[in-house]
Amino acid sequence: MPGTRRYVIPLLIVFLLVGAVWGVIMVQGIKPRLGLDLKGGSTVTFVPTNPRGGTPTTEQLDTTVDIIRNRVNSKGVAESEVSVEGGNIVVSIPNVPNPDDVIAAVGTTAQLQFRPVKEIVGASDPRYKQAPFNAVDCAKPETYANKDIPDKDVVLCARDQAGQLRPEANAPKLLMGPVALGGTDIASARPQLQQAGQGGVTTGQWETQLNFNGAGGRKFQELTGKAACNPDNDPKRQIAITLDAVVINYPPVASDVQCNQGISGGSAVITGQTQAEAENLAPLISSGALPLKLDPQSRTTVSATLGADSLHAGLIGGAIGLGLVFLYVLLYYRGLGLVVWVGLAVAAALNVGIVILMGKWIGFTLTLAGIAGLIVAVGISADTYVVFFERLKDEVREGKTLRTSVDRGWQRSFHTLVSANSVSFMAALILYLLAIGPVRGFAFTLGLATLIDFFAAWFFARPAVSLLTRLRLFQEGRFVGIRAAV
Amino acid sequence: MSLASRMYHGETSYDFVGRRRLWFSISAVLVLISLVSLVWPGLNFGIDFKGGAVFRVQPERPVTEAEVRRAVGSAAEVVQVTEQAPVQVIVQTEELPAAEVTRIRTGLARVSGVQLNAVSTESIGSKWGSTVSRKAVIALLVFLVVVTVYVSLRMEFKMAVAALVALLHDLIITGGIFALSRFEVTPATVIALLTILGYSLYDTVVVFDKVRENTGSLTAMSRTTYSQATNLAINQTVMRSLNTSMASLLPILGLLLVGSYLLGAETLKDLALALFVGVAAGAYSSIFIAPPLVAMWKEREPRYAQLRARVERLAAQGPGAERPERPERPVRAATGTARQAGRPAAREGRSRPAPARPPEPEPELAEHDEEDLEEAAGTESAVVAQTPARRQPQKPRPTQQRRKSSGRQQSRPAKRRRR
Repeated sequence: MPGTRRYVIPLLIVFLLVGAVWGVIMVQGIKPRLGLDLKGGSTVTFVPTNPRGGTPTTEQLDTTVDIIRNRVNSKGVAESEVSVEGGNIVVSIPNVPNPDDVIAAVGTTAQLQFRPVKEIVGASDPRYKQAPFNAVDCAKPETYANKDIPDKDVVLCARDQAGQLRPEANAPKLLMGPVALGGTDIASARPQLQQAGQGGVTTGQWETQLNFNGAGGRKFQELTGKAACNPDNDPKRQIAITLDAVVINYPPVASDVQCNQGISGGSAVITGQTQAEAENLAPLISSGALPLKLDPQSRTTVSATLGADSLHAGLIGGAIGLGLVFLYVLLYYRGLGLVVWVGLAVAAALNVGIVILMGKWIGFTLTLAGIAGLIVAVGISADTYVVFFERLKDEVREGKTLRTSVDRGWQRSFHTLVSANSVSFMAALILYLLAIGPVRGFAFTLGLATLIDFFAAWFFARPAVSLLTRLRLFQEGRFVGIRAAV
Repeated sequence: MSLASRMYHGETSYDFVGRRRLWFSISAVLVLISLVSLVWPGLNFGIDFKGGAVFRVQPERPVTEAEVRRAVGSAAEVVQVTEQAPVQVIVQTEELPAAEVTRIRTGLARVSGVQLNAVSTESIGSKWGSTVSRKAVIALLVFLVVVTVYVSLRMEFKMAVAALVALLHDLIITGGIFALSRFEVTPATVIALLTILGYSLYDTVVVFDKVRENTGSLTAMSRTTYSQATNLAINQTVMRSLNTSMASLLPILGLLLVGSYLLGAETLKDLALALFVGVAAGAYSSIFIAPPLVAMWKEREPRYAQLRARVERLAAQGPGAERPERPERPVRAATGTARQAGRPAAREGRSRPAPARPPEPEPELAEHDEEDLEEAAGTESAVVAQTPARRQPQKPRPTQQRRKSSGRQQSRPAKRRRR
C-alpha cells in the first residue's frame, strides 16, 4: 500500500522505545526509587534561622547540610539524604529501628572547639591501633560522634583539608587536651589572599583570617602562648580546631611567636593554604561560631506497613482508573477504542518506565503524590484521543470518508493539542520549580506525562489511526464509533 | 431524537451564549455561597496548616482506648481505635516539642507491642503550613501571569481574561465545597487545587481554539454574529469536553474509591476529592462561563457590533427578503446546528433553535452558494475567494481541493486583512 511506510516507521519507533526503556530496566534490574512514604522512613524538615537575624546564606545552608549529613552518617544510617529545598533543610532517613534517636541528633547545634594538640599519629604508626587511639575508628563515625567532651582529653580524627567534613578511613588521629575556646569566642572567619609585607603585593597564597571577640582574644593568646613553648615541628606546638567531633584543621603556632606570650590583638591568620582550602575552612569555622538554629517544622514517620499499604492503594487506584477509561473508550469509540487502549498502554509503559529510569539517573524518588500524578496523567493521554476523534467525527460529518478525514482531523486537533498541552506543561513546570514538598513529585510526573503524551500523539495516535482506517473492517460503520455517529 | 443521541452524534444545538444570563446567575449564586462558606464556617485546615501531630499504629496485640490514653498521657486530644481489621490506633495532639513527640511514640509502641519504627507520625509546626501556602500562592501567581501572556499571544487578551475568570470560578467553588463538606485541607488538597488550574485552562483553551477558528472568518459581510459563531463552537466541542472530563474523572474516581476503602490512601483520597470537584467545575465553566464571556465582550467591539446590527437587520427583513439579504448560513458550515443558529427567525442571543435536522444536504442553499461567491466577489474578494463551498456529501470532491478550501486556511487571510 502506498504511503504505508510513513505510518509504520513512527509506530516502530514507539514500540522500540518502549522496548528499549523496559529492556534497560530488566537487564540492569533497576528498581523504582520509592519515597519514604511508600517504603517507610522518616522525613524531617528543618527551618533554619539565623540567631542574629537575616536569612541564612547559601553558604551557611551548605555548611549546615554538610554537618547534618555527617551526623546522620555517624548514626550508621545508610541511604539517608540531606538536601536544601526552598530554603529549608530536608532530612530523609530510611526505615531504622530508632528514628527518633537520629532525628534528635540532627537537631542539636554543632560544637566548634579549639584544643591544644598532644599527639598526632598517622595510619602507619603502630600506636594508631593502640590505646588511647584505638578508641575511635575513623571509618565509623559512630565511634567518634559526640566524643568531643569539652573538659576532657579526647582522640578525634582529622579530615582531609579541602574535602568534606567526614574524615577518611585511615585519617590521622589526634590526642588533644581540654577545650581552650569555643564557637562563642569567635567573631568571624574569612578566606583572603595573603599580603606580602606592607606593600599589599599578593603572594598567590591564601589564608584564613580569624577574628576573636574580647574574651576569645585573651583565651586564644593564652592557648598559643602555651603551645609556643614547644619547639618547632613538635605536635604540641599545634592547635586543633574541631567541629562536631571532627578535626577540621590543626595548624602549628608560627616559629616567631614567643613562649607564654602568644598571639595577641584578637585576630590571627592560618597561612599556607590553597584557595580551595581557605574557602572551605572559613565557612566551617563561621558556622561553628554562629550556628544556624534548626527548628524542626515538619516531621513525618511512615511505618513500613503503612508505606506498603499506600503503594498498594496507589497501584490499585491506577489499575481501576485505567480500567474505567478502557471501558469508556471502548463503549464510546468502539473499534477506535482499541487504538486508545494500545495508546494508553504505551503512554503508561513509557511514563512508568521513565520514572523508574529517572530514579536511577537523576535520583528522582517516586512518592504517593507522584503516583497520583501518573494516574491523573491517564486522563491527559486519553484526552489526546478524544480531541483527535471528535475532530475526525467533524470531518466525517462534513462528508469525507474516514480515511481522508484522518489527515485533516489530525492537523486541526494537533493545533489544539499544542495549545492545551503547553498550558498543562507550564502548570507542571512552575509547580516543580516553585513549590516544595510532595507537590514537586506530583508536578514532575505530571509534566513528564504531558511530554510523553505529546510524543505518543505524534508517533502513535496519528499513524495508528491512519493505518487502521485503511482496513476494510474500519470502513464498516458499526465497528467504529465515528462512522456510526454519522 | 433524544438528547443523549443528539449529543453522541454531535448535533446538540443549545444556545449557550444566548442563555448566558441563566448560567451566569447559577454560577454567581454558587460563587456567592462558596465565598460565604469560605468565611463561615471556613476551611477545615488539617494539622499541616495549623500545626499538631498525628500518630498511627497497627497494634500487635488488642488495645483499648483507655490503655492508649494512659500510655500517651494528657497531650492526646483525640484517641481513636478503629473497629474493623486491620485495627488502627490514631492519636491526635496539638503542636508538640520534639522530645514530647518521641515520648508519645515510645508510649504508643509499648502499649501496642510494636517496635518504635512501626509508629507512623506526622508532626507539623504551625509555621509550616504558612510556608507551604506562601510557596503555593507564589507558584499560582507566576502561573497566572505566564498563562495570561501565553493565551494572549496564542489567542487573544480577552480570551486570557475570560479563562482566568473561569479559573477563579472553579477554584472558589472547589474551596466552597471543601468548606461546606468540612473535609480537611491537607497538602494533597493544595496539589489538587494547583492541578485544577491546569485542567480548567486546558479545557477552556480547547474550546477557545474552536471559537477562534469559527470567528476567524467573520467579516463585515458575514451573516453570523460573533455570538452565534461562538455558540456553534461550543456546540461543536461540547462532546469533546464531556468526553475529556469523563476520561479525567474516571481515573480520579478510581483514586476516590481506593482512598475510601483501602488503608494508607488518605493522601489519594484528599487529592481525588478536590480533583473531582475541580475537574467537574472546570468542564462546566469552559462551556457555560468562559466562551459566553468572550462573546459578550467581543460584541462590544465596533466591528462585531456592526456585524450584529447587520445580521439583525437581515433577520428583521424576514426569510422572504430578496437576495442579497437572503438569510445566511454560518461561518464554516459544519453541522445542521449552525444553520439553525443563523436562521432568519432567530433573534441573536435569545434564539430558541429548532430541533436539529439530520445533516442532509439542502440543495436549495447549496445552489445559492456559487452565486454567493459571485455576488460577494466585488467587495470582499480577498476573503471570499477562498470561502469554502458548501458541503456536498453526495459528490465528494478530490481531497486536494477540499483541503485547500476549508477552515484554517480560510480563516487566515480573513484575519490578516482585519489587522
